[in-house]
Amino acid sequence: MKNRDYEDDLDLSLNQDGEQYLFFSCNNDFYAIDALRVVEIIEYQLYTKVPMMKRFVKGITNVRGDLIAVVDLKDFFGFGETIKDKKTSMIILNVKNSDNELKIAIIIDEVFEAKYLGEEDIKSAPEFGVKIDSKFIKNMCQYNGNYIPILDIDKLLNVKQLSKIELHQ
Amino acid sequence: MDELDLFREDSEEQLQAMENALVEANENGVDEEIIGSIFRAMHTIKGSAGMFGFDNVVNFTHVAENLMSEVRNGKVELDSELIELFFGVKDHVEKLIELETASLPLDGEVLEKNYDLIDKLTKKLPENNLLNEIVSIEQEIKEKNDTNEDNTMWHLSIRLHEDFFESGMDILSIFSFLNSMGEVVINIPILNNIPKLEDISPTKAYIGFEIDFMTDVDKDMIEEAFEFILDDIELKVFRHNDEKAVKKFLENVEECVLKELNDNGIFEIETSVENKKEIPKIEEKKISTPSKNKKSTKNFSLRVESTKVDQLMNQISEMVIANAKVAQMAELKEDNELEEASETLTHLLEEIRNSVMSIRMVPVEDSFIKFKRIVTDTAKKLGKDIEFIITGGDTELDKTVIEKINDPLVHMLRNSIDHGIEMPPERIAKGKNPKGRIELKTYPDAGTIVIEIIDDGAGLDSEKLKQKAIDKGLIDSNANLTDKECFELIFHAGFSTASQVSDISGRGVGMDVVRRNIEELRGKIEIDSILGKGTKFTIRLPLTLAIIDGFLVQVGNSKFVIPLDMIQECIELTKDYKEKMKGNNFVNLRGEILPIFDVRKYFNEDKSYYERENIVVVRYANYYIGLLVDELFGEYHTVIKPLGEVFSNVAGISGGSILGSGEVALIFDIPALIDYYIKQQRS
Repeated sequence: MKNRDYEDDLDLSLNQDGEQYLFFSCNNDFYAIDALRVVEIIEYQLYTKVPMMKRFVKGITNVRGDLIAVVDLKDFFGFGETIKDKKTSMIILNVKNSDNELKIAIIIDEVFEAKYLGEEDIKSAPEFGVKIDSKFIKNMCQYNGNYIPILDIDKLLNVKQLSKIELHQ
Repeated sequence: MDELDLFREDSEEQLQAMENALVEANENGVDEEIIGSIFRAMHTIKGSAGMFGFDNVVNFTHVAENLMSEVRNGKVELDSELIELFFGVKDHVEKLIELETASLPLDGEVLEKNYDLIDKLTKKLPENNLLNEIVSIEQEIKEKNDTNEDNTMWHLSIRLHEDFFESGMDILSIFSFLNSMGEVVINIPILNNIPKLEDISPTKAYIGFEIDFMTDVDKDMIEEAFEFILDDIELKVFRHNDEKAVKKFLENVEECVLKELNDNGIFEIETSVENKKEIPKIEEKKISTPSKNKKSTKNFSLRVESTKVDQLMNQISEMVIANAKVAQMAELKEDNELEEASETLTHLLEEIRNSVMSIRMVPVEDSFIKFKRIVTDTAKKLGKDIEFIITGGDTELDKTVIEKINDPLVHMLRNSIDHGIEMPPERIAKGKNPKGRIELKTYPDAGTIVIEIIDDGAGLDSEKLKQKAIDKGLIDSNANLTDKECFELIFHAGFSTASQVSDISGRGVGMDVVRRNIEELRGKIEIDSILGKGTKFTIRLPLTLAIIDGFLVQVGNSKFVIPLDMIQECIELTKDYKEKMKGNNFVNLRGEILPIFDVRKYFNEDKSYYERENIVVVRYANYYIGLLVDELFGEYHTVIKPLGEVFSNVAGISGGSILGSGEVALIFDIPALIDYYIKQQRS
């Protein structure tokens, strides 16, 4: 991630310890992701359906000339399709895939803030007890007095898994 | 790209041009252009190699260049022996450049070749070379002097009167008239009479001209050019070599004009006017002015990185989208003028897009012509006699596709020569022409480019192929294969029909690699063969990797692009048709059975909102199929964008395209779709 543009948070990073995380909500639950993996956050926009894909791989959308796959996070977790409103957003993430990187957009309900977390704020994930599959959780962290999952982007958006074909009948 | 890369590429191009010229010379005889391009190649490489200090290249090309320059002067004839020698020169220079750019020394073999070639080239030079050179220079000088007898340098001094414009004449048209009877060598506008801006009257003229004019007409004729405006200008006309007139002129002229003249070197002010000095100066001027009737250089090309073209393409797509938004706004606000302006812009953008698309397309001939030599050389090595024919060389194909198809084609041609064409005695025994024939044929067909390699050789023996495959354990011993399936066996990895591996074919690159390369280009390869008669390889390639001429349709909520050239026709699926289908998936189209592919079902689209359903009839190779869609929008040029790895397993979609509104339309991959359809029907 050396090539990323740090200008915006250069001052902050000098005074802050730890890593920066992006906080957002999906299906009324809070989640955090590694902010350095976020390419950009855009308003929800229309996408084109692509056949034969899994239910939560919604299709493809055009972000300034780039075609980017769209995954509905709520649907991915098995809570049904995201209901679109004014705050619905897409977070475009850099995803590692064997020897390269690609961009994938996830649909989420609302983006809140980016924040630095020190080591003391982060706890390892429990074996069970969280409503999403524990393999997608990297760690847990405190946010607004609650423990919330920090998502493991590469496990969540595993290209091999996502690209599997499902034949509808 | 660094300098060295540029040099390498440039030399490669020069050498290729040289080889093409040599091949051409062999076939159609020698002409000036051919000699010119060989000379140019040597000359250019010598020059640029010099900049890098590649002495070996410089020294060698220098000798070759000298000889070519003799050829150009008609002192040496470019006969078949010399052509052969220059083929060797080309290869050697290639080798030298390779070594030099890799900073490697000349080793034994190359060094030997170097001396050998230099020796041969030098022997070709006429013995009294130096003498000839002197004679030719003298001749040149004489010729130049001859021409000067007619042409005289005149000086014209013109000052426009303030009311010049009232004459209604355009001074520029007078100048162009002067150019028709001679040549305006220097024209200096005299601007010192122009007043300050606030004092300028737009109706008044303030300028003058000092002109050096070379012509063979006399003073009266020159003055005649100004006949209609003589009253409106001050005109002085005198010969350059008329010392008196020049002196008089220089004495009376204003200081600043004098300076102007001096700066432009019209008269040697200090030394006054000396005839001796004038003459060489005139010559110089004459040489530096390119004469119009000389043939202009054939074509010149720019070297641009392909990513820049891609970038340009992307930017244009962005503009199209932005413009679509403007059009939408205009419609919303009912602003007719804005709408019109945006429409014009749409039109222009379309044109730009087409031009950019065409940048990538080049005729296949340029790169196919070098196969001639490969065929000749290979045939010679094997003791075979082969006539090689290239047809359809003007067919255009994406440059990157041509580059990538190059190696597979070379390999296939070598295969045809090595395994296909028999030895002359064998051919005679079979009652064939002892001279074998290989044809490389290119033509466009239904949205694809077809390249065929046809030989009249031994043909493929399907039984033999099958036995071999069984021996190698590639297929089951009781497998039931059609002839065509037997032929396909040669595409299996590790399958080689030649019992002996020669250095011509069988360098470890098998036909399996050929097929893989072609498939990487979204192409297909097929074999037809008749035992004893010959073999035909048919390669089908998409026109371009990046751009598609499509046809936009709607199915349910989504828009799709169908490659235009694959479309045969569009028909309405009328009630009549529907009733006749009776649950079958085909319609009777003018007596032919047309299988129907329901796009909506395949893509799991919502049900149609349109009353009219349409069938788009597409063809790929020999298959016809009808795609059932909702609405037809018409032709659509577009850039193919890959969907990315997430969608790599989706069959029947070759990519996406961004529409004017910014939404993405999926592009059908008709061959894959047909494959999928056939497989589905079978299972």
